Amino acid sequence: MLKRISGYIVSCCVSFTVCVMVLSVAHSIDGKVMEFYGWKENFHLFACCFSISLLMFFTDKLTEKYSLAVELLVKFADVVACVFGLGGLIFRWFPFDLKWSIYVFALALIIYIITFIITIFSLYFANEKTSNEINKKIAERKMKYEQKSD
Amino acid sequence: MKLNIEIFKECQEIEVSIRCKEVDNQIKKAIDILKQRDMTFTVKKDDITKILKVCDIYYFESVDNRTFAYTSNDVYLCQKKLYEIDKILLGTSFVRISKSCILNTDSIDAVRASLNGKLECTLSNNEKIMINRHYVPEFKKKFDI
Repeated sequence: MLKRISGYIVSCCVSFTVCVMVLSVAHSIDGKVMEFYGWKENFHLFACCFSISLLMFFTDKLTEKYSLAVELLVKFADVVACVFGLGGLIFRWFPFDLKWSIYVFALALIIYIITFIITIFSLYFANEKTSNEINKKIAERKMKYEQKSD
Repeated sequence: MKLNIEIFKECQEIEVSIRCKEVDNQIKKAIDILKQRDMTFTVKKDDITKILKVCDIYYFESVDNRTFAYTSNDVYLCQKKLYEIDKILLGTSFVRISKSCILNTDSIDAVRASLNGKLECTLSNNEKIMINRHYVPEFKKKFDI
């Protein structure tokens, strides 16, 4: 359980970092995105990332028996719900018109994809380590068995 | 640990006695291994009923509400449901690897990481089977990792 929670904390931190990076890149392009971004917005952004991770913690339990595609869709729905609900309605990050909604949706999608790629690769490397350890144990087992049969 | 083996020609049934101060995890594991040795499942193939030793079974899979037992080169229909098998095989070398599959870890030849977050197992008969990422922690425990 503790390991699982730590995974969500890491995911929250990764998504926060990616958010700040993507917003910075977007600001460097159009010079508007981070115009009103201050210390308060920094906390708001972290609160949003945290609530996404919290929501994922619960929805992951519902989707754990479904395919990866279903899980990814539900996770993205978690992201959209938090960004529009918390960011749009409560923190008033953006006005609720079509132009801004598309813009925010696109940004959320980009951040989600980048976070997803980072998570997938870190999971792959963790599994690679696990499989090496298991293969070692299997080899040890086989050696013991061969020694016994000799 | 001392290991005594006594061989009697008149012996009808193998008898194992364990003398210890307390039953710790290692002894529990040894008991589970011994129990598994005698475990059997009644299975069917082409209307012929057969008794299969658990150690000969590579994995159990549930397909369309029916449970199948897979050995190195055969598939048998099993009377029991997957959740019942899961309960019976608790503490043995078998582990749940997806919602529809229980794998015998003794039948694994190698394991490899896959990009979709799953682990791919190659069995002794070269068959490949995927371990769902939600079941990886339980799978690791079987190898004391």
